[in-house]
Amino acid sequence: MARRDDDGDPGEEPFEAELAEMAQQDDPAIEFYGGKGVSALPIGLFIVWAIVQSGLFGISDTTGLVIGMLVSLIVGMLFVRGDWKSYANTIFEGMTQRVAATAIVAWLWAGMFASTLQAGGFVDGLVWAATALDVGAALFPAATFILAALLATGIGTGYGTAVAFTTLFFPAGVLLGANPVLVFGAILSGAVFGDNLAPVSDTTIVSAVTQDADIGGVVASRFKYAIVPAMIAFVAYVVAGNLMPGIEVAGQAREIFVDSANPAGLLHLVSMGVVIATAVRGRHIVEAISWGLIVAVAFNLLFELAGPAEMLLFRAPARSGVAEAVSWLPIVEIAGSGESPGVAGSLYSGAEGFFPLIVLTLLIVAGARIMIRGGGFAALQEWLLSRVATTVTRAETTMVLGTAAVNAMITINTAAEIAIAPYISTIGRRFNINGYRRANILDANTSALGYIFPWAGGVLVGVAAMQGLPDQYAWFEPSMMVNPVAVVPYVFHGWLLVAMFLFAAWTGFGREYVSDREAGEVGRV
Amino acid sequence: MSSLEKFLAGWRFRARKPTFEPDAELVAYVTDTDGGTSVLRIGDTRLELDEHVPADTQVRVRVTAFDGESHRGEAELLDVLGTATF
Repeated sequence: MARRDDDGDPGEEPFEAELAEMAQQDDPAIEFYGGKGVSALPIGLFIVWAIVQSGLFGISDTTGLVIGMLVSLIVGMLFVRGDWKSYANTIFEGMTQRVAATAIVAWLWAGMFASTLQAGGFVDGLVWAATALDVGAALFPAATFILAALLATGIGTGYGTAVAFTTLFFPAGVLLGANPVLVFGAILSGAVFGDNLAPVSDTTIVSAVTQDADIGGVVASRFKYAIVPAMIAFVAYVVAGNLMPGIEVAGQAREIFVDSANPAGLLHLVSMGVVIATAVRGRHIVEAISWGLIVAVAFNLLFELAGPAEMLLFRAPARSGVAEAVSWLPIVEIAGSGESPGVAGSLYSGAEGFFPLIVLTLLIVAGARIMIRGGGFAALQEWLLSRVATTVTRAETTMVLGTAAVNAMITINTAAEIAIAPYISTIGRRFNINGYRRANILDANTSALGYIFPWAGGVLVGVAAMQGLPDQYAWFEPSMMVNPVAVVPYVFHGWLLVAMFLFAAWTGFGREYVSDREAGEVGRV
Repeated sequence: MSSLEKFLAGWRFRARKPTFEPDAELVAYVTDTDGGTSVLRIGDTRLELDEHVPADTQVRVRVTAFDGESHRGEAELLDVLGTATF
């Protein structure tokens, strides 16, 4: 949202200067051979690339998508009528938009926080909770759902949750006699819950910043849509856990957990609570995550959950005299033979993990800008608004189904979310649907379907982690692995979340208009 | 708004066609133009603005007339707050 100062002439209505300025704004500045529709070429080609790379080839490599977007931008330029300079300038114009910068900053902070929680053994705390609860085979899927949801809400990454839980909870559940498909479904459901609700989740951040809403407010407003499906999903896992048989395997489930269990890891529930409470109270997301990070680092050090070097480490070459002199510091070490110098630790790896996504976001936003300047965006929007989204109910249904369709094609859910965000914003704004509501529709379906489709990134990382289990446990046979297609019906929370939003669109549950409550801006302190 | 109120906001079924009282002041986006008149659609309710303002501009308006049957009304422009950028 670009706000304008009241600097009109004295005596004029305060808004006349703004209106005059708006009237002078340029029309679309780029012309394409083949008409306005061709301005959609960079984004369109990128979507095709993403479908081929992630959907058909099954390669979940974000840097690969970056190359796809770069190539698409070059191909798009070949169709520009006249000077290519305006096209090139529009790339810069798009990349410098506040929406991209806000998401990038929030991601970097969230990455450091999530990684530091993991270094501090948050997963080990949840493993301890599982052993302490001592649930049987029938209740194991339901308990897994709750604990996976807790981890994902703390670290914000459903992918990370899917990997951690498939490595630890999945084999334990199989040994205990729980149904493997149901346990995997429960893990994916927990990942959906956290990806959807966590303030440090990449998809939560994108949904808020693209819909002009503050992240804390989005999390609070999202709670009502998340909690009802979660409660139903919990009951469904209890019921299904009692009905669906497991596999008989000789061994003790507890043994898998013994090495990992550490109750102190649960202290990070406090770190997680600090971020959520501070963000919901309306503090800037950077401030909220910084507080959570400070608490997490303090807990790690005070309770010896992670040493300083696990969070930040300078590994200097032996030739550095200065490093040699201060190598007594816990965060400095001299690289041994065969070790390459560098910086490491959770702060480093957490922020670095987002670098490819940051570059991709900048390029997608640039591609979207070209579509706007070329008139393609307006043409598509006009078609949507005049033919499809003609009432508020149809508009919201279009938003739900449109997000679902894009997520079916682009299986890296954050990339899919960025691609569809401008349409959600435009269609929703056309009916003055509040920014919180728009952000919730956008994120819930992105989070849910990213863990349901058998080719979705969230499912595939879990399956990949499962493939390592036969090497890890002698008793685990390849036949115990879950087929990604088989798990589709059992991601209960994901399905219920999509159903919740269709219900909400048709009945008006949770609907808020811009005039009901103004969403706080993301940049607000 | 307190943190608790933020969690509790929106736990209701909101009408497709909201109703406004004359003299009510509200903030909304100008959504489109109908025969030269700027329109604010709020859900399926329509308020016609007394000035021409481009679509996607956020404005503060005062409702001057409203028909509860047709869910159509008129509004007076009070302030221009900004434009949507994404």
